[in-house]
Amino acid sequence: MFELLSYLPKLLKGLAVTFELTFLALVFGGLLALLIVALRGLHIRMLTWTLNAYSGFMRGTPLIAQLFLIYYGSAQLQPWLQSMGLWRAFSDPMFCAIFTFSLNTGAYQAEIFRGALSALAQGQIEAARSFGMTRLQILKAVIFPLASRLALRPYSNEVIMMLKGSSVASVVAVYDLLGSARAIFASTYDYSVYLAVGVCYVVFVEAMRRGLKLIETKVFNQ
Amino acid sequence: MSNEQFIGWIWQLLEGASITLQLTLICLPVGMVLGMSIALAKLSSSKIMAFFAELFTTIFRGLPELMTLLILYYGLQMLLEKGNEYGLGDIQISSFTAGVVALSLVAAAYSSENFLAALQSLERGQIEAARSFGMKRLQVFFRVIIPQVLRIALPGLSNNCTNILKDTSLVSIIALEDLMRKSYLASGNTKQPIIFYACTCLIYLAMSGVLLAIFSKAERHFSRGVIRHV
Repeated sequence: MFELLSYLPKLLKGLAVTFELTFLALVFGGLLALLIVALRGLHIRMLTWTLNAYSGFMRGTPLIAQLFLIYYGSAQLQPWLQSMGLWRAFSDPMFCAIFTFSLNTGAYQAEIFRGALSALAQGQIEAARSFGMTRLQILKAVIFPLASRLALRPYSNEVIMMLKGSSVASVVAVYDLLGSARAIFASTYDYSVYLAVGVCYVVFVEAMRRGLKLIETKVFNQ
Repeated sequence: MSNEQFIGWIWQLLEGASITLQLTLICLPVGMVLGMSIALAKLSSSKIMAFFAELFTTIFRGLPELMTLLILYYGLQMLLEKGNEYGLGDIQISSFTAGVVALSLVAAAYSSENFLAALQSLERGQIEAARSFGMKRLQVFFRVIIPQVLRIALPGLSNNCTNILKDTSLVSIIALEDLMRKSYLASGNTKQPIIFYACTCLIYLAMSGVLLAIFSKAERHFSRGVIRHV
């Protein structure tokens, strides 16, 4: 028990890294997803095809493979990255993890947004337009409220998946919550650290699940 | 890197892919059957059963899959060492076994939610009708409940199953020589990470593509005779 307390500072630092990874990936991934949805809306065949390939790749391969491809792959591209002035960023595992996770969750979030948009009844938008509402008004008053309601459940799943998925960063020596636990275990062979961190993850995921469910019922009356 | 070397490593990757495939093919059926039992336990009238079923899902959906794997791998190892002290004989846990146990539990936790939703959407009247025809409980389960539950649960299941296929890549962290581990070795040895990780991704893509195709075929099979409201 006292051992666990002595690990506490390291574990708390790890927890902060886990939240940082999850939060940044979700934000950058969300921006990427909006961009993807907007580009899809242009209906340019080549572009749509490329976006489909991107989305298929990101969703059909393991996150750890994507992370290795970017982290170890960038080492092979070192001279080129150096000449572009990007090497300092790509030699940092934390940067590579955030970069990979953003690309990954961006593809998933784009799929969620697209699903919600395509589920909207066309009639609603036509009705709004025939009332003489402008595009921006329609977006703000019709599309956004309806689509966000539809997207909330899959979106909350994605948030949870990202929180759990961020633990994959520990394999490239990022000391997130799991990474710190692994480091402590490697030097002490104290199994209880895994159990403690396991409880921690379960509590956070469950709290998040319930919180998002509460939003669903309270805010959207679903 | 010579051509021969490259081809040699690609063979290694394919060998790794066969381990990945074996893991997936064991974990999916085991996970499904366990998941179905857990879904039934959640609906059971016994409060204790329902509680433990709920606890099981909360734990194995809440833990990151890598964490589940590490906890089970080291946990089982320590348990067996304790067993050895009491003269149970020298048993070792292989990383393959640990992988199978961990991923089956994860698959069970996720699929139990799919099965639960499907079970809840069935009309009670159907089961009562089947019972009043004199069908036995097991007959009702296999002929009335299962075909409909599968139809409703399949889209969600196919999603979770491809996730399990992708999650098998995490066993590379406990040194099981699956596809991911082989490509790690290949890129370390040849200093050509891009080509090998790209090949690895393509192999995973092919495998998840085949899995999805099988599921969409199954979906069509189980929704024969159902009117689709488009």
